[in-house]
Amino acid sequence: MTDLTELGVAAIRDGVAKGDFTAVEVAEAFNANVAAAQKALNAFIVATPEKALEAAKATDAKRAKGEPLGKMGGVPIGMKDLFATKGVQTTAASHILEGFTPEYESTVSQKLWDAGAGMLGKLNLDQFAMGSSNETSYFGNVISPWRRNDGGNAALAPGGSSGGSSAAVSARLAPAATGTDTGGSIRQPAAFTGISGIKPTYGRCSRWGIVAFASSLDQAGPMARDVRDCAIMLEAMAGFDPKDSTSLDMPVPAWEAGLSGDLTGKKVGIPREYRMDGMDADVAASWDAGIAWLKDAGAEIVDVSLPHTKYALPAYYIIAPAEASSNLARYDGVRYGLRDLPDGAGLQDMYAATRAAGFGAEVKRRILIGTYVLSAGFYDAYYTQAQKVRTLIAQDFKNAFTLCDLILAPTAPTAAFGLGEKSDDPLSMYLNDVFAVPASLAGLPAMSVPAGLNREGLPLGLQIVGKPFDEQGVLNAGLAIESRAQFSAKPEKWW
Amino acid sequence: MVTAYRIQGATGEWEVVIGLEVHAQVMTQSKLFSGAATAFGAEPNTQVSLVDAAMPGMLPVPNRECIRQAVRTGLAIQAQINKWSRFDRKNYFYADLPQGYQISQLYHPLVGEGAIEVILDDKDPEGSTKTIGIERIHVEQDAGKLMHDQHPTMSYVDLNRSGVALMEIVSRPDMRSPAEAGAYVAKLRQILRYVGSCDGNMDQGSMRADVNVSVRRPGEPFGTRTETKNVNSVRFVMAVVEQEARRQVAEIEDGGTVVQETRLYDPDKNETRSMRSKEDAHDYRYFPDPDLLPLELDDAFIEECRASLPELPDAKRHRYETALGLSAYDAAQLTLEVETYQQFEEMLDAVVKASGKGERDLAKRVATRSLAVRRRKFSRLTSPATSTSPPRSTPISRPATPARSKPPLPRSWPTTPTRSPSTRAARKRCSASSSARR
Amino acid sequence: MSVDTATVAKIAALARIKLSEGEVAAMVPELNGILAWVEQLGEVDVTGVEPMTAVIENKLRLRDDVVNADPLTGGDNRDGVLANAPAAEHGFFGVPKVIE
Repeated sequence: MTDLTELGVAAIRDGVAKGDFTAVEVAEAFNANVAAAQKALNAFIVATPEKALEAAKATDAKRAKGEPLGKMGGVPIGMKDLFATKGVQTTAASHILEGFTPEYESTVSQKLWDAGAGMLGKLNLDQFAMGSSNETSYFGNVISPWRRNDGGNAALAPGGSSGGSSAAVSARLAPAATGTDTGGSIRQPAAFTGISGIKPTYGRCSRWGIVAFASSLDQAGPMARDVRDCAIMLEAMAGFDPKDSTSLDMPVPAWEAGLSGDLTGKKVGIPREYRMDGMDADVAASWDAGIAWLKDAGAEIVDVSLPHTKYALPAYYIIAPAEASSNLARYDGVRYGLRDLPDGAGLQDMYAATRAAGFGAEVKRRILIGTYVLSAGFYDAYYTQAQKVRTLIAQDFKNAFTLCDLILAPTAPTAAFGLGEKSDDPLSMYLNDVFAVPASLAGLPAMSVPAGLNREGLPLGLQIVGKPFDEQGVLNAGLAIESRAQFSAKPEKWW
Repeated sequence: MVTAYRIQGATGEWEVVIGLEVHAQVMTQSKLFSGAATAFGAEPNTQVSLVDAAMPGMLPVPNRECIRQAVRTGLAIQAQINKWSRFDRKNYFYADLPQGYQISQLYHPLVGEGAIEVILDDKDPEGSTKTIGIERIHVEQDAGKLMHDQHPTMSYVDLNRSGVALMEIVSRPDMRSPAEAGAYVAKLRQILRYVGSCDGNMDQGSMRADVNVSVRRPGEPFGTRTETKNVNSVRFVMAVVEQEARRQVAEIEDGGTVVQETRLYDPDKNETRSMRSKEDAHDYRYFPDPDLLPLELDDAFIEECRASLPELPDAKRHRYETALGLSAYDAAQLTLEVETYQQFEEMLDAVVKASGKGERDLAKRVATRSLAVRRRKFSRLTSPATSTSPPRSTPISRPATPARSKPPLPRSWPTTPTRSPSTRAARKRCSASSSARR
Repeated sequence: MSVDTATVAKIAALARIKLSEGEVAAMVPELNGILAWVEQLGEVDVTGVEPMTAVIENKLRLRDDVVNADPLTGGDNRDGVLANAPAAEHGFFGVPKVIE
C-alpha cells in the first residue's frame, strides 16, 4: 500500500472521495508521523491527534451517507499557532499566552474545518510571528528536516515565521499547513524547505481570530507540497468576513479549476533592482532558470524597475514594529495569559513585570523600536516617512504592472542558513526578507514555489508577485515553473 | 447686558478662560466596534464581547448609527462634516482599557468647526446671547470601570462600558465665566437631546465634561491651563471653573506658577486636586488604526442625516415667539426640554383641532398650562439641566414617539385625534373592536 | 538620531517592559544599529506623497446597530470573557488595587 503521508491535499481529497482509503487511515498515518518527529523537529507546540481523527471520522461518515465531503474533505492539516482554536491552547509561541485557551475559533480555521479538514496540531512559529528562522519561539527552535549534502548534521533553519508549518509539510508530518505572512513569513520558509506557499492579496483571508502582529500587513495563506494543493486550500481559507473591516467583499474564484500552466499572452517582469551586487550564484542561476521556464510556458519576459526596493525593508522595520507595539499592548496579565505580580506590586508594575517575563528578546526589541518611532517628536520622521515610502513602493508595483502581468524574483537571497548563524545580529536576519517584504508592503498576492537545489543540496524558491486580486495569475505561473522545475527532492529522513 | 466676570485677586482683577471637552455617550443599542449592548446598569461584564475584552485576534467593525448620530450632531451645530475621516489609536496602559489603546480620532475628526449660541440671561434670551465656537467633534471608545472598594487588595474591572461610543465635543476657549460654561453645557445638552444623539443623563455618566481653565490679566495672552476631568453636572462644571480659577489666582499671587496638569473635582469638599501624576501620560503615540480603513461618507448619507434632524431649539424658540406670539421668556422655557415642547405642541394641536381657532389665538393659554405642569414637575430641581430624563432606550427626537409621562389633558378640551400615526392606528383598533361588539 | 540608556529606559517604561540596567545597556547598541539603518529612508524624496492609508483599495463598511447580531462579537458572554482570566472574582477581572 502507498504511504499515505506521501500524498498531498488533492490526492487525499480525491482518494478519500473515491474510497481508495479512508480519512481515518490518512489521519492515523499523519498522526503517527507527527508523534515520531516531534522530538527531533519540534514542529508542533501541541499535537491534537484526537481532533484529526474526529474530523476524519466525520468525513468518513459523510461519505458513507453519500453527502458532499467539502473542498478539504478528509485532509488533515497543521494549524500555525497564531490562529485561535477553540478549546485548544493558542500561544503565538509566546510565554505570555502559554495556557491561553480561546473561547472562539478564527475565521480561517473555522472555514477549513467547515471544508472537511482536520487538525493535526498547533504548529510552532517565531514568537508573535517575529522572526525569519523560527528561533524566537518560547517553545524552542524548529529544526528543518533538510540537511546540507556535506555529510554534516548542522541544524538548519526551516525559515520563519511559519517555520513549524514549513518543516511539517516538507517532512511529511502534514500534507498542508496554514501560514501567515507579514513580511515573507509564508514564502521564505516555503523556499527554505522546498514546498509551495502563497500569500494572497491583503484582505482575501480574514484576520479575525489570528493573533495580530502588524495589522496592515498580516495575511494568512496555505503552505503545501504543490501549487494545486495551495489553490485548493486557499479556496477554503479565503472569503469575505464582516468581522474584519479590511476583509475584501469579493467572491472567491475557483482557483483550482482555473489552473493552467499556459502563459501565452502573459508578460512577466524581471525587476532589475532585485539583481543585487554579490548575489548568491545559485540563487541567480535559479532565477535565470525560472525566466527560461516561464518563456517556455509562453510568457513574454520584460525588464521592469521597482526603484524604491532598497527602502522596503527599512520602511517595513518601522511600520511593522510600530503596529506591533500597539497590537501587543493587550498582553498585560489582566484578562488572559501570564500574570507576573511581584510582592507589593501595583498595576503598572504588574504590567511591566508580566511583559518582561512573557515576551522574548526579539519581541521586546520590536516593541521598543515601535514605541520609539511612534513617540512624541519622532512620529513624523519615522512613521509618516515610512508610510510615504510605502506609498512609493506600492506605486512602483503599479507602474511595473502597466508593463507586465506578473513579476518573477527569488524568494530569499540565500538557501536555508544554520540555526544560530544569524541570531546574534538582528539586522542580518532582517535582510533575509529583502525580496519578500516589498510585495507585503504593497498588499500584493505572492507565492514561492521550489525551483531546485543549490550546490549544498538545499532547496531554493522562486517568487511570483501578481496584481491585486490576481491569485490565479500567480498560481498559474507557479504551476508553469513547477511543471518545468520537476522538483521532487525531499529531505532524507534522519529523525 | 451681562457684566464681565472677574476674579478680584490681591493684586487686581483676573479673567478666567474656559474651554470644555464634553464626552457624550452616543445613543445606540450596540457598541462602537462590537455588537455588545450598551444599556445602563447591567450585571458586570455581561455586556462585553470578545472584541471589547481585547482577546487576541479580535477586530473592530464600526457601527453606522454611531457615525450617523455624530454627523447629525455636527449638522445641528452648523459644523463642517468631514467626508474623509479616520480612526487613530491612543496608546496607554490602564486596567479599564483592555486593548492598551483607545480608538479615537486625532488627526482627521469626523466633524470640524461649528458653533452654538448660548443664552446668559433667561429673562432676556435675545439680548444676552454669546456664540461659543466648537473646534471639532470626534467619535471614540469609552473605557471600562474600576471598582476599588470591593476587596482589600484588589480593584475590580467591569468592561460593560468598554467600547461604548462617545462623541467628544471640543469647544474653543471662548467662555469667560462659570455662568457661560454652565450655559454652554446646558445648551449643548439641550441640542443633543433634541437631536437624539445622546440622552444627556449626566448622573449616569452619559455626558461628562473635561474642564480646561486658565486665568490671565484682562487683555493678556492665555495663561497655563489645567484640565479637570469627568465633571458630571452643570452645577459642578460651574463650581470647578470658580474653584480652579480662584486656586490659580492664589497660586500666581503667592509667587507660584500654574502647572499644566490633570485634576479631579471633589464635590464633597468643593475643590479640585491634582491627579497622581503620570510621567509619560502625555506620550500617547497616536497613529492611524491599521485595523480600520479611512471613513468615507457620501452626500446621500449626510443628506439623510440632515433630513432626519428635528426642529432645533433656537429655531423652535424663534418660531414660538414669531409665529405663536409667545413671550421670549415663555418660548425659552417651553423649548428647554424635549418633553415640555412635545407636550405643549400636542396639547396645542389638540385644542386647535377641537376649537377650530388658529394656533396663535390659543398658544398663550396652552403655554401657561404647559409651563405650570413643567414647574410642578421640575420644582425639586435647581437647574433644568440636571432634570431627570427618560430612559435611555426612548429616542427623544423622533416625533412619532410620545413623551413618557404625558400629563392628562384638561377636561374642557375634548381629545380629538391628531394626525400622528400612532393615534390614528389606536383609533382604528378602537373602531374595529367596537364594530365587532356590535 | 540615536538613543542612550536613559532613552531606552524611558521607552521601556512607556512600553511597560521591565528591563534591568544590563538589559538596557545591551539594548542601546542594538536599537542604534536598527535606527541608523532605517534612517536611510530620510534620503527618499517624498514631496507631494501621501502616507499609505489603505494598502488595497477598499471601503470602510459600517455595520447595523443590532445587539448581538453575531454571537462571536456580541455580549452576554461573561463566562467566555472571564474564562482565561488570571484573577476573576464575582464576575469581575481582579487587578492589584489602583489608587486614583
